[in-house]
Amino acid sequence: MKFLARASALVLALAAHAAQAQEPAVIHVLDRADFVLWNSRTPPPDDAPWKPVSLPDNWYLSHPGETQVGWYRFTYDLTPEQARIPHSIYLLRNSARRIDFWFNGYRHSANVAYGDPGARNWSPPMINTVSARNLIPGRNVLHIRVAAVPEIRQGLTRVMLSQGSAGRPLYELRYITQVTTLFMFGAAALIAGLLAAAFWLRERGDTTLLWFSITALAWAVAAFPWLHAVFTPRAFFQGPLAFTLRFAYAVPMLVLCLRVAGQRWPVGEAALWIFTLAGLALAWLLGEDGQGVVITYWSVAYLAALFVLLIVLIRSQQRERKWAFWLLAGALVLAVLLNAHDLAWWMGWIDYESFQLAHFHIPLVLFAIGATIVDRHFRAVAAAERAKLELEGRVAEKTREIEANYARVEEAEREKALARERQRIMADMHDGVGSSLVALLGAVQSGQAALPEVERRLHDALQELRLAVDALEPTDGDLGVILGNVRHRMRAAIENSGVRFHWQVGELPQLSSLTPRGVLDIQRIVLEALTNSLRHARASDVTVNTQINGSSLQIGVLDDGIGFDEASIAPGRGLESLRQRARGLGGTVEVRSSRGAGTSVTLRLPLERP
Amino acid sequence: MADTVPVTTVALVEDDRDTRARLASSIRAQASLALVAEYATGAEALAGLDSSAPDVLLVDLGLPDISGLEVVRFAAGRHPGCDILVISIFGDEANVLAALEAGARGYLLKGSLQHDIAFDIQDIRNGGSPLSPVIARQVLKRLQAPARETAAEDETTLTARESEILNTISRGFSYAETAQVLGISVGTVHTFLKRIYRKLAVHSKTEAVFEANRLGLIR
Repeated sequence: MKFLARASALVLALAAHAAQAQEPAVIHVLDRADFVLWNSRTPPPDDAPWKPVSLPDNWYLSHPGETQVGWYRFTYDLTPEQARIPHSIYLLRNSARRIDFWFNGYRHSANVAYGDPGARNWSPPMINTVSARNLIPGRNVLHIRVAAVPEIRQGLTRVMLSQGSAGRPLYELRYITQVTTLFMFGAAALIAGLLAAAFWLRERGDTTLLWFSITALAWAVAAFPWLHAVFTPRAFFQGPLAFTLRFAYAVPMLVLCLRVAGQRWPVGEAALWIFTLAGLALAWLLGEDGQGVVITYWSVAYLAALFVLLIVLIRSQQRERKWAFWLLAGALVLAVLLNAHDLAWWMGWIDYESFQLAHFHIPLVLFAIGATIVDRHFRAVAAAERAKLELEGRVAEKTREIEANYARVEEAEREKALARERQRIMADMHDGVGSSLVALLGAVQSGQAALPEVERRLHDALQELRLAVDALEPTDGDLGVILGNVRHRMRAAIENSGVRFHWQVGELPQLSSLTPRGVLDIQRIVLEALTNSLRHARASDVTVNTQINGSSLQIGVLDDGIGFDEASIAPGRGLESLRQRARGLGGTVEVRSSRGAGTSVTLRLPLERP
Repeated sequence: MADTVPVTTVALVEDDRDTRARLASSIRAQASLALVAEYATGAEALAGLDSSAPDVLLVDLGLPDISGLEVVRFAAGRHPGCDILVISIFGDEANVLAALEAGARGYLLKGSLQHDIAFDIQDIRNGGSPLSPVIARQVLKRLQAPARETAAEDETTLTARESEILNTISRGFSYAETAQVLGISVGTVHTFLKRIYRKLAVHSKTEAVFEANRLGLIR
């Protein structure tokens, strides 16, 4: 794009420069001549029906009809100095099937390259050097033989004579603006078309890209003048070829306009395609002489369609009129204007020496479309970024919500656990201390209870209450402390019983999952076992020991007392409550005893709670 | 009774008349103990203790006028040689620890058999009251934390030996057993415990100073 802009600037600068240089370079601008339609190989005699004409002479206007041969005769004066130097003869357009020059009766072998890239439809400028041999001081006569096809606007432009190579810059400037720009814009269109095609292949969803690619490639084909040279010779193909090269990009460009406008007109589009195919067929059938008509009507039709679509495009984009849109609209306006210029030229309404300009809109359209696509891309990226941020925000919000919910659930769970714990301890108090106090009260009221018995039972109740309070102390599930506390609470009872007491408690782990209720259960089990050994076993030695076996802890209370016969006693309430408590802890209680061989109570607890 | 060799003088602060009477009779029953004063309120106790200093002071924490802890604090400050025991129903950690920090040497359980009182008082005279495992553990936790100020380190943190003793006691071992386990005499255990109590009191004071500092009460 930049390259094109720079090239255009260069062209403008050159034009300005050439305008200044023009005057001194040219010695004669031949714009008046005598003309006769005369099909001969040598200049017609002076008595032929010569008629004066002024140049440029567009045969479509002056001699419409079949291909003909005609002769122009120019006269001009040269000073002796001018006649001594070779001349260059410069035509603004080489717009004829064949052009031959005769200087003062001598045929100048015209070095017209028929294969010139700009030949035929693009009628490039032409320059020839005339040897000084053919020039004479004083009056000179120049005959130009022209074979032209009026239908495709052939004819003769003004002829400019300059000394030496002084006229060459004029020719070159004209060549650059008329032909080189075609190459440049064609190349740019080719690259842009291929890029767009590549993008489209990756992103098939965007048909705008596809149509842009097709349009740009069609431009490239139309703007490569050498294609005319390559395909020209076969007359059979010339009609359709000329049509194709001129109009290949018309329908794709129209469809592109629709797509950019966000519109689809299946019927209208189909009609355009059919119209194009019809034009192609017609150009084929009518051949070279008939293609002028086809080009006329089809040019008018396409220009009208382009104009309509431009309106549609502008109206469709009312909401989002960004700079890229204005660029595109401007480019299309330019396209309309340039095509209108070309049509006007074709119709003979404007200067015959002008040349086709339609392709000059290509750089601007490419730039506009490129900008639109880039703009769209960045907007898509920004939208994606926004969406991502929004999504992240929403995820964060959800996370917070979930965390809050989780915290609420946890809080509720904890409160529930606490309530449960309180309830269990309350129930325990009710069944334990409460019921023993009630029983005791009953015994006292009925006068049955002996004082020592009352004292003992009150003591037990108090003991139980203290254990319950201890269970609520923060021990962090430290088993050593929990067991130690039982001993501490029973210190007086142990000392008063007179047994030899053995405390074989090693280092014990912490069970952090232990609840106050669990602590109480463990203490109760040990207390119960110890109390039995102290009160009823008549033992001389009582031992409490601990042992860790893998993942389980073993707490044993052993005595060497009288024991009891396991088989003879029904599983008492005391024993059953021990087992129940152990089960609640996820452990077991084992009681072993036999008459005369002491008793052992073993509590086994899992160290790791699942 | 009074003229037998070394008699320990005991004062009693207890608002419940029956309990006071029971305790008094239980003390009187011991030949080695002499009850020198009985107070029913905190004010009475403060007034009485201002002038006389018993060897042992028994204080009920639940007094009608002021907190028993006030009496403990007053007595501990006034008579450093006086061994103070608080009377508690449950011997629960919160109350006992607060009493120890106020300067008490131990506690008595209200419902204990009468015989225990002499036993416990004797223990106190020997150097310390029976420390429950729960409380031993709590003391261990409290004093083991690294001191905030290096200057106070010696005064408020436990030595390795003291920690060992507390750790053993917290696992239910008696003082005698603890002494045996650690290869020291029971007397040494008592000495250590006395030191630990002192540290606890100092710790609570520095803690209070630290708190006051933090709150901007002291400049």
